[in-house]
Amino acid sequence: MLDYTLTYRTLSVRLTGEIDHANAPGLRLQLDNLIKSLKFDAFVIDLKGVTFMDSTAVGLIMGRYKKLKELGKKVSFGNTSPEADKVLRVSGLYTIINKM
Amino acid sequence: MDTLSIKVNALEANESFLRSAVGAYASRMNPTLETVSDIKTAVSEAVTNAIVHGYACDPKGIITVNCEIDDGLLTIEVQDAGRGIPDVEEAMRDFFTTKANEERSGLGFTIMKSFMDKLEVYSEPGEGTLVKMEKKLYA
Repeated sequence: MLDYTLTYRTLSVRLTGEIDHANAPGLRLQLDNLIKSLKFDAFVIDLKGVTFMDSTAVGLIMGRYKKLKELGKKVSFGNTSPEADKVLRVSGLYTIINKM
Repeated sequence: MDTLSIKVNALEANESFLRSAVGAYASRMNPTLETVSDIKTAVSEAVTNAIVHGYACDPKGIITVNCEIDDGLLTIEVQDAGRGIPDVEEAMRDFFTTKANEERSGLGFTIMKSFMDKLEVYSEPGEGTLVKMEKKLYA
């Protein structure tokens, strides 16, 4: 699941529930549509409501990060659930994307 | 004896089914929530590999999951009879992926290794892959 808020040119995207190989393509499409259609400078990924994620989610986040960097946007993580946090730590994503 | 054996087709829907099933099976030993979460993540990685790489998403493929709990130690085997891995050592390297254009992170084995106590991978090209993992269910 995905919802978002846009305030002062900061786009905060909240992902919730499970992120895996089965539902990543749908999320990718929704995220790319938001990135394309909204005007913002900073992009915040909130994973507080994520109950499960695996390396497919890491690939999904990395792909969006690359795209956003090319567009000159600032990218950071908002809140994270313990489940998401551990996968982000092990995958080394925190070395590329800072936590707010 | 305490064993579990499941055989399913290589369908995406079975990724969440298998990780939930193995997580529920492990829960009978009252492990911590973090341990159950680690097991579910590792199973999800192994099953996704079998579907995406072993069977190239062909649902006719069969995935077999065998588990055993012995003296608080959970052993999980995820087996496919798919195309196999030509070079296991290379496949297990961090960030190695054969599907970079599909945004695969190349971290599946890295996560299995970090989240479980033991990981062994056996594979023969054309014959399939067996991923064997162990996790202590209490400290």
